[in-house]
Amino acid sequence: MMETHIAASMQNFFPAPFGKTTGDKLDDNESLPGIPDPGKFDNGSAGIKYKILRGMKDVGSQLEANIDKVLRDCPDAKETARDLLLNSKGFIIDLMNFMSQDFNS
Amino acid sequence: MTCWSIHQILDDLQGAWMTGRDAGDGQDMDHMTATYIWATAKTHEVMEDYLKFQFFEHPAIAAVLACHLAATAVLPDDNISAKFTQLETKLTKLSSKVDGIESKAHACARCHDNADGTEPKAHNQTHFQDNIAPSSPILRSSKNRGRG
Repeated sequence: MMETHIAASMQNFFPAPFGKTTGDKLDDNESLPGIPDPGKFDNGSAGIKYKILRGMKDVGSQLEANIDKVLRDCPDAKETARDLLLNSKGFIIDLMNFMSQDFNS
Repeated sequence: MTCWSIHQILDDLQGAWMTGRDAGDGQDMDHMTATYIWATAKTHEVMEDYLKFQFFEHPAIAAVLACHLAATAVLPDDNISAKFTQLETKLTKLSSKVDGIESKAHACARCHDNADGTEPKAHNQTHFQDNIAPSSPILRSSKNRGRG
């Protein structure tokens, strides 16, 4: 199950909130399929940024539960996995802030 | 510009993550697990790089900015030169038009002077409106008002 998720993640260039794309649209750098209007990216609770950060909490909780369950007998691996998850969350938060600043500049 | 940057970031992440595509089909679990861990580590290395440079100062983003500027920048000299050429052409056309109207006005005045020496002012104005500048909207409206 987990392997299928990982393999599937290699097929999609864009993360789901940024939209899906086909191979022939990869070179279109002018837009992100999921963000047709940059002005609405950071638009309070209606913005995509808010939805991504809210979704990240849910996904983060699920992943933490999975890590605890799968690696319960390997404390070192569990700690490493949790660190990686924390780093990924930090990266996404910083990426969202970067996008907000860049869209507004 | 932001979209270009995001494309670049996702491209870099995808490049690192794709190192795990040779993980196999689950026959050799150790190899598959090791490949995924390797791909994860590579991806986190890329993320770490972007965080270290706060995105804006990352060399890849600087390259994107340079590409974006090269693709969208308009050289000021070229622009000004083009505008001057456009204005000169317009000015030449207008000068020709004014010259034509002036010539017609002179010809009309000479024609009436030769005919009877003097002429009524009203007649002269009507003649100008009908023959020299019939397409002028101001004169056309004044002519219509006068006739109406």
